[in-house]
Amino acid sequence: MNLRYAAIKLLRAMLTLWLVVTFVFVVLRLTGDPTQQLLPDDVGPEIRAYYRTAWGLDRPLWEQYGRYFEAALRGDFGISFRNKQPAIDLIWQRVPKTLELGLATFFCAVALGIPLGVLAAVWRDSWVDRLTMSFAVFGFSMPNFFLGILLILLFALNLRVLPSSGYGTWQHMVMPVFTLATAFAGAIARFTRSAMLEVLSRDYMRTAEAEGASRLRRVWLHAFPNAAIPVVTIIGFSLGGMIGGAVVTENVFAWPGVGRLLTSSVADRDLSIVQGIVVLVAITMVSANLLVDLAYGWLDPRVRVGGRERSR
Amino acid sequence: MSTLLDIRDLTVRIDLADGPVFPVRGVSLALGPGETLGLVGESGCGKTLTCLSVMGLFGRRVAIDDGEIGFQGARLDPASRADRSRRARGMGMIFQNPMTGLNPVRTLGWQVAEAYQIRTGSKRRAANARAVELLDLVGIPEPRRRARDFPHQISGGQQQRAMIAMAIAGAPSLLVADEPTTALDVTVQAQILDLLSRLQREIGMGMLFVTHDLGLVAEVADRVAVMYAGRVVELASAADLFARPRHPYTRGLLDSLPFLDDDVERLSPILGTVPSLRAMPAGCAFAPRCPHASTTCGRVAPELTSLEGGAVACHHPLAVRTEAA
Repeated sequence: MNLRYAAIKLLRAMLTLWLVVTFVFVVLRLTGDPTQQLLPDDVGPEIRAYYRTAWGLDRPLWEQYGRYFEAALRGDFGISFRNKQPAIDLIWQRVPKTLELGLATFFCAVALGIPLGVLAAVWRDSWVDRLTMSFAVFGFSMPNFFLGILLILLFALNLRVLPSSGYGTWQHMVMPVFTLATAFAGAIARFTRSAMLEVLSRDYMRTAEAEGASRLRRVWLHAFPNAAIPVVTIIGFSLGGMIGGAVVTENVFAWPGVGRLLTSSVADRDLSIVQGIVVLVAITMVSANLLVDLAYGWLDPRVRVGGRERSR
Repeated sequence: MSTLLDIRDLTVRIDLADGPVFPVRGVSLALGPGETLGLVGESGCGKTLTCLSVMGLFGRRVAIDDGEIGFQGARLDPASRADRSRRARGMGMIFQNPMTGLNPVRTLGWQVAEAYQIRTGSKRRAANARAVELLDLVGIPEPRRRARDFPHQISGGQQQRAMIAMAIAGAPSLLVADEPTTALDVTVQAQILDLLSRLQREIGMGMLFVTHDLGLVAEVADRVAVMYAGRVVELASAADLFARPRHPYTRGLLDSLPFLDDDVERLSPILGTVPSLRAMPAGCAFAPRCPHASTTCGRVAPELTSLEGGAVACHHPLAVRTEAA
């Protein structure tokens, strides 16, 4: 049963990825002849024809699709126009740096967001709740580029305690991680709070109180496992967006990750790289969704038992 | 007779946005060890709040306004941590709806073991073993396997049995059962009642049995307290209450019950409705619906006064039941 649930989810994830890869192909063909966009206007038709042959654009569409798809499976998204290296290699060089930023952000945000959300729910309407929720709204609504610039002004220009931008030491990570984590932690805290509030008013919480379970026990052993389900959803979605979503922050802090590569490649019309990053982001999104789905099965016994008994 | 539970002048206050209301007003009840006290009344008469006060389970905005609750000879202080654990050790509670009363993400074994562990302070391993025995004791078949099940995997009746296992884990001296069979099928109801009576005898627990069903009370209770609009209006042994109701409200409740051996063509409901908490009459709360009400009833609230083995709060208690004319 458990295996069947996982298999169905895996199959759906594959299907989504196939659709994304296909969509990228279709959109690129729909936007017109790439040679028109990439080559200068004054090149002769024979040069244009040469490139069309070189890139396989003179082939029938289904054959182009076949080749494209087969190459995509191997992770081959073509050659970067800018520096003639395979696009995938250029992207891969950037991935660890983005991951570094993303994972640090992820852990900070979860470590901050969940306890704050739980505390706000347990002491709802108290100053703890109001302070936490003000922080959450602040983090959530403050645009990353603005917060980033403010931080640079304060810590790099005025106080001179942190490097304003770049990559290398842990000091370089402080501000980008803080910028990304405030928004993420705010979202997690809000979701955790509302999920906990709902769970705390359930009958089984009264049962736990009647049997004399301490408050700590009730909150973390009885309530939180129930509240974790919606919280995991939001965490999973944000995790997926972490790879592509750090575009703005990476640019503000000149962090050499995938996000910066994406902006510079868009500016240079380096299509194979853009295409590769789009697929990469899609893969992370789909994987994060898959992880969330599998986590449901682990967190909620009603899902675990089998497809038919699910009530959602 | 020593008392297990002694409720004195309990008044419960709920703070609403537009001022406080008092859904339980001056309730006094006593329960001896091993005794079953039935608490009967319509929805909203304060019987559940009375139970929750005994258990010390107050939601937001709910508080004991006045009065006190004594347990095993000593007063319980709602704010005291020591009293909380005394209460947890000595009392177990069964709730109305087992489906929502059990935690959906924990196994039955986990939940029963936890209750046992908290009451007795035993080790987890011992508690797990005891949980299986408790599930067996409450009549759940294949307890070892069921202990690994989640609440949604078993039927409502089995869920209520699991709930009972949690409540009696560690053998508390008081069991508070708040409408334990209301959410169940009629056939299952009887089984659960049998189970409760059996466990009560075996463990020697006192039981506060709350229901709106007079028929159930007749089966399980030694004594019965009838509540109306936040007050106890009549207190009597179960046999006396059914044979000789003293309060017109009790009488009305009995008359509105269908008895198979009665040869009546239609039931006689009590006319009118329960007064709202916001508009309690100054005198007897039942006066507006009472066929025997006098001008005194409208002005002075009757005290609960002893009367031949029972007690009644009425200015004009009924004489021995007269045959319906």
